[in-house]
Amino acid sequence: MGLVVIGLNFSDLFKMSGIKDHVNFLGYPLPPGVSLLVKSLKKYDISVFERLVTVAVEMSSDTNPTNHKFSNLTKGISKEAINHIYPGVFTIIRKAMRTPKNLLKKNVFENDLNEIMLPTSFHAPLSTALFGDARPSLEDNAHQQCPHVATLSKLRWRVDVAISNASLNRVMEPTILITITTDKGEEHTLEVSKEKFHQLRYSVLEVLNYMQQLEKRSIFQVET
Amino acid sequence: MDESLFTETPRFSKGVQLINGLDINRFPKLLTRILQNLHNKAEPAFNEAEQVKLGPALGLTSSELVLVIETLTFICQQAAYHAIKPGILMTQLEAVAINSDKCKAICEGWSAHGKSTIEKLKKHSFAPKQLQSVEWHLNLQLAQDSKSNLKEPNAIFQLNVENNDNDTTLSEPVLLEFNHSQLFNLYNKLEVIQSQLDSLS
Repeated sequence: MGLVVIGLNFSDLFKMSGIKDHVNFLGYPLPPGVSLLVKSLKKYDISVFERLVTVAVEMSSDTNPTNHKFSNLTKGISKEAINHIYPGVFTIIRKAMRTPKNLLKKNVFENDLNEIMLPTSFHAPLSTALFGDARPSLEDNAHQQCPHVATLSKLRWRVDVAISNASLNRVMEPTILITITTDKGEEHTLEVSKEKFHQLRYSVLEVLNYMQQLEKRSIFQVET
Repeated sequence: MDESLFTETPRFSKGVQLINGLDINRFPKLLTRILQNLHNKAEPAFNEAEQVKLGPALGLTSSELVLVIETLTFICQQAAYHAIKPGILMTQLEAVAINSDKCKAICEGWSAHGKSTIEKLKKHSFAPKQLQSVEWHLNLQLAQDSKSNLKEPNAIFQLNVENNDNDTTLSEPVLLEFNHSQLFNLYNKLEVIQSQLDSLS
């Protein structure tokens, strides 16, 4: 009796075991808002759902969402509907935004929604919200919301040449005056001498150079 | 220029007399010290303790010493203001009746230290906030709470600023964060400034 040897590699074993290699973007276990949403959706009309999706997109795109804005946007929708639908919708949008665009494509998104048993008729409002025109403002807001040190919003400058001063009749020394306005509203006015300006310029170039080298490396080419 | 650099006030004449009476050996060191401290307006060339010792060493009372130092400082300041050559300085000094050996010593001191003193005075500025140094930090941002799978290089710059208000020198660091495109914009602005500086020279 001979031995039959079958060559199997890891991915074959993986597939055979029935474990999927794709994880739902919502994660396991399902967030409570989403499970509530799926259960209660039979009672509601698609128009209510669409309205609440719009509200969720509005609130997520806003840098300073207020309760006032929320109550304005949800005028005329019953409290029960809001409680059942809104948390789930908001969570779906937040989780979908978290994954980068190239990793969560529209068809994968819709498959995932099918997997959590969200009726197909309700997919359209969510898909348009996430893969349509509203996406850039959602991305911008997500980017701004994270903690960060002040970034430069405006740099105004002027170059002065000191002709003379109290100690010297003839100075002829150029200096630069810059006003830095940050996105956190701080304003700094500094005088920079020629030497310090060259130091600043050199540092900026050095960092730019490093950034470019970093971006060329293979870690950036691989789409994980 | 034909007009005198030094107006002969009585106090100035008294100062000149005292200078003429000084020992020539000690004179160059005195002068060098004064020249080196010319740009430093906050601190005098000699502090209290040194003045106490210097007076008897030069054979002067404390008020006479102060006058001598003031006169010499004034001579150096005028020389710096007009950026005069040593030869002309010699002529001017002789015109106010300073002994020729002292004139020679002053001119030698001026030739040696004059240029550096003028340079230091040129650089001196009393703007309230001046950039002292630039430090930076380059990070690679991988994720944040609202976005995963990022690969964004991120630089943080610290601009150390010297605060000249009220003569206190507290360093106030200005922290700024940049991603690649923001840094590139900054670079373009700096290039425009640089081209302006280049067009000046």
